[in-house]
Formats: sequence, C-alpha cells, structure tokens
Amino acid sequence: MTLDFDVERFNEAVGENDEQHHESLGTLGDDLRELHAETRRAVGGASRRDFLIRSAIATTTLTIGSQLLPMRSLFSGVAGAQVLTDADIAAFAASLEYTAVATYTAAAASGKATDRAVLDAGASFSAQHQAHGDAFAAMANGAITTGTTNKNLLTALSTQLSQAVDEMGVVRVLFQVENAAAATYQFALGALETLRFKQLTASILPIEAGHAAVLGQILFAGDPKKDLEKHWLPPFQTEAGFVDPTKNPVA
Amino acid sequence: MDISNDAVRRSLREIDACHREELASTTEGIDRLYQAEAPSATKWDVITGGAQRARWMRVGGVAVLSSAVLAACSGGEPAPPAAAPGGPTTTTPEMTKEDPADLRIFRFSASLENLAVAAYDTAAKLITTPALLAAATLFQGHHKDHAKMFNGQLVASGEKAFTEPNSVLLATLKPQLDALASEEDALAFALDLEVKAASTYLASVGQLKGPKLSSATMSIGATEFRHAALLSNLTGKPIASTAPGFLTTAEALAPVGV
Repeated sequence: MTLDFDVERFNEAVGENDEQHHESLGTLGDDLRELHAETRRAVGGASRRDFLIRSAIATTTLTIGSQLLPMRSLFSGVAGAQVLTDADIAAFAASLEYTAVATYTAAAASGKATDRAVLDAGASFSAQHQAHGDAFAAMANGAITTGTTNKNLLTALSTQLSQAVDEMGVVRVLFQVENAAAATYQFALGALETLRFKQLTASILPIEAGHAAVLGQILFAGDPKKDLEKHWLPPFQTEAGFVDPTKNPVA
Repeated sequence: MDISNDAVRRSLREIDACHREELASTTEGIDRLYQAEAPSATKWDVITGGAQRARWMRVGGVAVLSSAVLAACSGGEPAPPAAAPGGPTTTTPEMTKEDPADLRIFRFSASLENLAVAAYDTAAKLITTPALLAAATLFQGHHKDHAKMFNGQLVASGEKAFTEPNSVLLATLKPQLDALASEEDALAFALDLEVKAASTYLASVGQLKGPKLSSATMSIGATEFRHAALLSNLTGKPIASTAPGFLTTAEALAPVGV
C-alpha cells in the first residue's frame, strides 16, 4: 500500500482547526480516533467546521465503499471549513436553488411530464426556487452571481432526467431535488452563525420539504405504504441525503 | 509531533476497520430513527448531532454504536454490556443545562404538540376517507413523537414533562373544534394548525439560545409543513397559496399557557 499522508499537514490542520474536541488529545492516534468519531454524527449540525468535515465523511460513506478513508481530503475539508463564512454557505445554497430552477425547466421541456397537476406544481415550485436563489444570492456578499447553477449537481440531475423514461421518472428526480434541498438546509442550520442567515434558511427549509411532500404524494399516492415513513413523510427532517458542498462547490 | 510512519499506518488501519464496522450500524440507526420505538433522547441526539462518543445508545433493541466500536474508536471508557436482543432499551441519562428561556420554549412546544394530538383525535372522528384517515393518524403519530422529543429534553434538564395540551390555546380553539362538521372542515382545521405550528417553530429560531436548538426545532417545523403541504393539496389548495415562497412567522403562536 502506498501511504499518501502528509504528517506536517495533518499536524497543522489539527492544530489550527480543532474547535471542540481535540484540545485534550496529545497523540496522533487519539486525534485520528476522534476524527473518526465524527462519523457517528450521521446527521445533526454542530459547528461550522462540521459543515465540511462531515461532508467529507458522508462522501466517503457513499463513494469509497471498502477503500481506505481518504485522510488528505478530510483534512483539506477541515482547513477549508475554517474560512467558510455564512455568505459562502448562502452562495452554495443559491447555487442549489438555481440548479433546481434549471432542473424544473428541463423537466418541463423534456415533454415527459404532461399531467396538468405535475406541470402546475412544477411551475409554481420553480418560481419559488428562483425567489429562494435570489434571496440567498443577496446574502452572499457577491460570492455568487444571480442565476449561477451548481455545475456538478446540474450535470448529475440532467443525466437523471435524460434517463427518466416517463412522467413518474421525472417526478422522482424532482422529488429527490426537493428532499436534497431540505436536507441541505437542515444541515446548514447547524453550521450557520448569524441569525439573519439562520432565519432565511429556516424560512426556506419547510417550503422545500412541502414541495417534497406534494411530489411524494404524486409519486406514491397509488401505494401509500411505499416509502411513506422514510422519505415521503418522515417524522423528523434530517440531514440524510444533503448535497455535499465539497463534492459540488460553487463554480 | 513525534510520530512514526508505522504508527500512522496502524492508526489508519484501525480507523478503516472502525469506519467499515460503523457504517452499517449508523445506517441502521438512521433507519430506526424513523420507527416509533426509538427513544426520544436518541432521536434528539441524532437530529442535533449531539451523540456523545462515550454514550451508550440502543435503538429498538439494536445497538447504534457497538461496544466494540466504542472501545476501539473512542479511546474512552469501555461501554456497558449490551442488553440481550429484544431486551429492555437502555439509555444513559445525561443531565443537560439548557437556558431557562429555552426550556420555556420546550414546554410550550410540547404543549403545542400535545394540542395537535388532541385536535387530530377530534378531527379523526369526522374523517371517513380511509387514505385521509391514514394520513391523519400518521400525522398524529408524528406529533406524539415531537412531544416526546421536547419532553425528553425537559426531563434531561431536570424539568417535568409537559404531557397536557396547551390549555390557553385549547380554550381559544375550542369553538372552532366544536364547529367542525365534516371531513372537509376537519382537514381545513388541521391544515391551519400545521401551518401555525411550523410558523411557531420558525419564530423560535430567533429566540432559542442553545447553538443546536434552531436546527432541532426546524427539523420538526419542516415536518409540520410537510403535513401542511399535503393537507393543502388534499383540500384543493396549492401549497403555494398557503405559503408563497417563504414560510413566515405571521401565523406563529405566542408562547402562552406554560
């Protein structure tokens, strides 16, 4: 095995960014164990640092399977988190919203969705996402230009839309967009520090959750037991399925 | 820092083993969060990210964090032995010190959730469509879960659980409840109550002092709004007409009666 590990970088990252947990730890082994303990926070916000460190871990769980934890990327996430501001998070959120608008637009243009209820809901939700994007962009201190989509995310969603074989396939993609947005804002609430950023995010989070409920009704109305508890109408909004800012940075 | 590459390799191998082992239990824990038997304290921890590494949690009889993982990964004290499968749920009480103003919000929130549970009891008597009744029953179950969450935090802070509906709000709403005469009335009432609840939690974001509490309450507020969106759709009113773009605090309930 080739060990690609920069001890100096590790030492620096731990020393600079350890806000809560590492003060009393004096050895590398303990530090590593403690970092791993973060994986237990499958959901739930704690600090600005967590916004990225847990993103990195969550990405790991999704993508590397049985491979070794990519420590370098984990630590670069820690270092990046130190300079992440509320405005940065707002810019990321704006990019998600504009991506949602583009996805709804593409869904309507695909011709696969023809039901009037679906089209009306899509038009309404898209307009709301545009408003959300503009609101986040206005809070981002110039970190994002109005209308800027998240390229990675849009590419992934465009692929999914093109692979959708029918109207329900399109609705499923939109349902995922809404749930992912809600989860991301739930995630962000644990990282934001300024009240006005929290309030804006908290005023948008339920709207996305509501969109997901309506689309879920369309998807699962024929089989109310299917996915009812976990995804369509969960008892608590969680961060599960949030959009990872480290994998989908604002361009 | 005085370390060797061998030490780093050993640590990385250890972490990898822990990581793989824990992924399965974490996934299972999240799944079980959605089930009724999850203790409210566990749900609160999962939602707020407050799970402590030395804390032993069991969800529905299955360990979220196995003792082996705790011992290997935390470097802390060994975990207590696991209960036998199907045995009693074990949750270590952990006294927290919430701000008194936050505790008052928790009490009010619990009383609001209890009110919603009672309201759905009344509304359910008028709901005859099976699918709608199933939705109402599900929503009522969620409100019970939410009340348990808030009460769990109250008890953890040395306070008494608030198990009754908010008496002031109930008195205010009683004329409306008494006037319900049809399924449509019941759904409209439920929609109004869900929007008020979601708005109330949004209002709490500017009031709560604990650093994680806004996140926790909005995890519930967002759920209430999912209820509202579905009820709005079922009553023929697009959700966009109920909340055009942004949820506001216009419908928020004042924290009275606690």
